[in-house]
Amino acid sequence: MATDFFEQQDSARGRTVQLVVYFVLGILVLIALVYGLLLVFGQYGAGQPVSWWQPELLLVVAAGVGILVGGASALKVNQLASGGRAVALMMDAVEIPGTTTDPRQKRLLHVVEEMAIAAGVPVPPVYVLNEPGINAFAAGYLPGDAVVAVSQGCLEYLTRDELQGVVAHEFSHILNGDMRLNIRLIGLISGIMVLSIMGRIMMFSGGRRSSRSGGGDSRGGNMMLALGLFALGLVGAFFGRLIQAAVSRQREYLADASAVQFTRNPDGIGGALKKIGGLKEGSRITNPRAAEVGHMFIANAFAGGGFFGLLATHPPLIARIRALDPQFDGQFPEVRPVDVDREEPEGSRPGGVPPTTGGPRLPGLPQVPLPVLGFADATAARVGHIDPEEVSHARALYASIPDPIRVAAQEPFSARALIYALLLDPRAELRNLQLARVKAGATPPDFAETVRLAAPVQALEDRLRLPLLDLAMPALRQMSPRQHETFRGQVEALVNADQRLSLFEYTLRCVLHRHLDAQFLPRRPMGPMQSSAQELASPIAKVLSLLAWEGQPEPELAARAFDTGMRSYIGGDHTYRLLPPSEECSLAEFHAALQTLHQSVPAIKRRIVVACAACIGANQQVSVREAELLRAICDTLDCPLPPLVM
Amino acid sequence: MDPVIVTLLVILGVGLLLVFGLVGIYNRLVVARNRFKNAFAQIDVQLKRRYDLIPNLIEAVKGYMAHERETLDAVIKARKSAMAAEQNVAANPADPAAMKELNRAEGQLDGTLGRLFALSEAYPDLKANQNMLALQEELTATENKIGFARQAFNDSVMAYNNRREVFPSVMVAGMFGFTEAALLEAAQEEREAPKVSFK
Repeated sequence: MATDFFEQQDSARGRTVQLVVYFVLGILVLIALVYGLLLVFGQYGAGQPVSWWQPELLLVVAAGVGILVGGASALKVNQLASGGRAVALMMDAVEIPGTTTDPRQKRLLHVVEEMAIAAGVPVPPVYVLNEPGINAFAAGYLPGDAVVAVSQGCLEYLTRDELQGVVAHEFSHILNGDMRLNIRLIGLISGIMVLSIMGRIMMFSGGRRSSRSGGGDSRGGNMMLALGLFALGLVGAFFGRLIQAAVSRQREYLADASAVQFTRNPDGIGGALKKIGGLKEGSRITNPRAAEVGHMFIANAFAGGGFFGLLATHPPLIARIRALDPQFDGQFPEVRPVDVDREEPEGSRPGGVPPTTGGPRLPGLPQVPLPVLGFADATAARVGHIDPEEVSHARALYASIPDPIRVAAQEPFSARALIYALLLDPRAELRNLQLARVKAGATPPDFAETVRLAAPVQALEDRLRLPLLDLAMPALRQMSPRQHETFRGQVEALVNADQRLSLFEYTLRCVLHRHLDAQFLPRRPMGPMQSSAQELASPIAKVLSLLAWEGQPEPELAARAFDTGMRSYIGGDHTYRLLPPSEECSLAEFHAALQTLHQSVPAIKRRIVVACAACIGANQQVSVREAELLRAICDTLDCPLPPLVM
Repeated sequence: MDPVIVTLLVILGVGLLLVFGLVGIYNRLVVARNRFKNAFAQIDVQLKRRYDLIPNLIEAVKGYMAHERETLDAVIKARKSAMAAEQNVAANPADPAAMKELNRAEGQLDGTLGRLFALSEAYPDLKANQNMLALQEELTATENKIGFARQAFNDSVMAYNNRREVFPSVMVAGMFGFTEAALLEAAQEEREAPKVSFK
């Protein structure tokens, strides 16, 4: 079963439908039970048999339960609208500062940074849960608002390889659309479980309430009601867990397989799972809020599978370990804190990575072969995947970034200046104009910092620019909404210079906004997804034109590149012509075209990616700048493309 | 339909909605509070960095300003009390008393540092000293970072305070002990060189 990124995105939408179906079913059962409970109660109160069929009562109950559960869900979904960060804060997790000096935390940050650069997504902020067990989750709607949270136990007990396996598992959730599904699941489950919260509260305040209603009979009745509610609450919790398990359990095997595929190391995630088995606290999360987010974790957050294991949010630990290591004998290792200082220094990995072909055959897990096709198709196949070569390549990329720049990316004040510097045009005249704008609009310290970083950033190789942007993301996301607004205004002033900004710098700005907007701007529901290739031919023509001119300034070569790309998209002959550089495809139109293209179904997006890749590959020579431009364009389409394109 | 059942249903319904609403408000207050607590964790690193730079500064200055003992001692003492105050706040950024103490201690530290830099103006050899220049630059850089992170922290504190003051959250806040959080204040005094002003 070969699944590429685009097919996975399609199937993710299908799973969302499945989720909603389960949710509705759960509500229906609850309505039936509440109705039944009230009938029983009515019988008890009236002292005589009551008719079992009372349509008005049923209607009222249905409306009541529907409103209650629906309302609770809506409120929770609204609370989570600010993205992954809301989930992490709900779990009382603390963000690791980019400038941390704690060696364990630094090690984790490096692992996450490498993986993000290798995947071509912005680095997610990393949070730590104050929990002794070994567990982790990734939350958010898009890579732009995603966060990764890891328990203190992970920091203490896992080796770097095992941490990497856990992080790779989380990234597979980020890349294949599970994260979005999971956060929606929280909203729905909270609704269903609201009765269990109420029931518990009513049970424990039942004694006090009886004195108000007066009379001995009522007291017994109230207690019964509270008990009934509590029972209902248990049913609600049962359904909540059932839905969690049904929707997410099978995904865990796939995420484990992806983790191995990304790192080419079954002992990473396998080792982590084994240590969970060996640790006394296991993967248990003590925070009671884990009930709502249990399915997001990497392993069971609460003890016991209950009800023949149906309620477990994850497959049994041993089964997962056996899928990765068939030789596993069931003996869990003794788990001791890991000595961070004695581990290999960053950047040196002796032994290297096994060759691309071959690798461990994992029985029962889906394989994703990379077909040997032309450049364009191969590019599309690499979207949303991570190769282990890319992880070590990412480490090398990271090490190539000069220290002052890397340090600047770690915290918000200098990260902003870094972005201003990245958006400066290579041509001196435009550059100076932009710097003047920064000086006019920003505070003196901001301007001074921008000037300080301008020269080193200008000297930075093209292949490091987009990774640097990805690296700066966590720091930028620490801004307050007000600060972000100011920052955004400053960026726009930089970009709207009187003369035309270089395409690469402009696209960097598009990438920046796409990801920051995911966190800072209110989530707008996606409009209808375009599924007709013809409708999008015009915006694609604009994008391809600009791409073609970027790669080859000679009109004939540009036309040829454009034609190759357009043919690939349309699938044959077409009537589109390469657009002349200035008049008909301005940067604003380019941006609008990208936004239109973003609203397309995964299958169309694949064609767009292939067309763009065909365009830049048309003349057999792909410059680093072109390749990075392609990556940036794919990023704005939410199709993360790893760095190693050549 | 039996009127008893209807009444009970209504009471139940209203009661449930009320409780449910309260739970939602409580959750939002928790998240808002965690947000500003998290924001402090970012400043914490920078503040500690600044405290670490000061002994180096003292060392660099001591050779030239040996007889300005009073000023140097004042800086050392102020640093110590600021560090203690900062540690208290880091343990619980939601504690307004601890924050007020940090503001006071930081203000004092800034004052003593200001005096130190003002005095150093009279020593041209010191001013030209490479080590001193590097330290000043690092201090400025750290203070810029603190300033920006402080803005974000204060923004999130204000968001929390506003949230807990509006009706009906104010009732939940009272019930569950969500007290008003204090802002981290900026330095009152400005330093001589280099001149950096930040809000």
